[in-house]
Amino acid sequence: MPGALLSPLHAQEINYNALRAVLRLSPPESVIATRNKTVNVDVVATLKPGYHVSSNVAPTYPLKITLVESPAAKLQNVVYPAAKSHNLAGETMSVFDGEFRVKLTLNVPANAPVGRTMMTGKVSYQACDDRVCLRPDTMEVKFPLDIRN
Amino acid sequence: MKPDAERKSAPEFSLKDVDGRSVSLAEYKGKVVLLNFWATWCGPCKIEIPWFVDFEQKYKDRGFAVLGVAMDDEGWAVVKPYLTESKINYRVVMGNDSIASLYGGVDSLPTSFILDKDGRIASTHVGLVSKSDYENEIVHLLDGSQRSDARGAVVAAARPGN
Repeated sequence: MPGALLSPLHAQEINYNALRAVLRLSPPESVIATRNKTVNVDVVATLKPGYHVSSNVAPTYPLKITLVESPAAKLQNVVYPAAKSHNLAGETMSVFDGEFRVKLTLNVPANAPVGRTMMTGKVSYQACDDRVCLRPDTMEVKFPLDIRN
Repeated sequence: MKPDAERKSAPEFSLKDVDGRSVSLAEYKGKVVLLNFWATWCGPCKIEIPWFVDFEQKYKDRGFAVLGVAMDDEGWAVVKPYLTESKINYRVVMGNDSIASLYGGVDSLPTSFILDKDGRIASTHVGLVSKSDYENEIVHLLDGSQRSDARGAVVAAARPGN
């Protein structure tokens, strides 16, 4: 190759931006919890039409939600929706598409700090449509937890 | 496809193939190259791969080569079995974030670059396109170079904007 090469291509030349932001997360605006009890939190995920993400039971890059450890609450259980089958080129994949809901159960300890704690976490996912796949990514999820006695 | 004057040189790289040998883009000097970024988890990529196998077989004697860049984080453990299973007849190297960055990020797959014989990017495809789109461009670059070789400046002057 000629010696003049070597300068990186700029992303805007390829316009990846148009392909980003296919997943939107809508956690609750606030969650009220009580010490020494569990609380349920629904995180609604919405995919751009035509896109799907690997489900939580997919063999590669399954959708997964995790929360950062906090003295306010511990993630006790996560229930994902039923996965759908998606066929492409003779392969069947386990996916979520459209709008779906991930249900979290948080355990609030007896000594949890009273008041508002911002719970943070992340959703790992890998999205595709029938034409293109986005490289695996993570998205932050956060919601305020208001703990009462 | 970009006109000659607008083509930029493809960034150079050296990456390892499945046998651990270094593969440099410079080795492909003088060839039309289909540089394909893909991954085993990418469904649309798997649709294209049999086409590329076909192109490699059909056009390799005319100065064409496919070079695959696998972007699987798990590396050869997942890519090597797929190469065998899919009977891939062209070279595949293991990609990384550095090469992705050189090529604009490559955060969508498949992403393919068709390079002319001077190592310049003649076209870029993000996402699945048709087999005929690829093949038309490959043949155009192969034929264009042949005409250029045979008729030199006359042909080059007659096809601005090609």
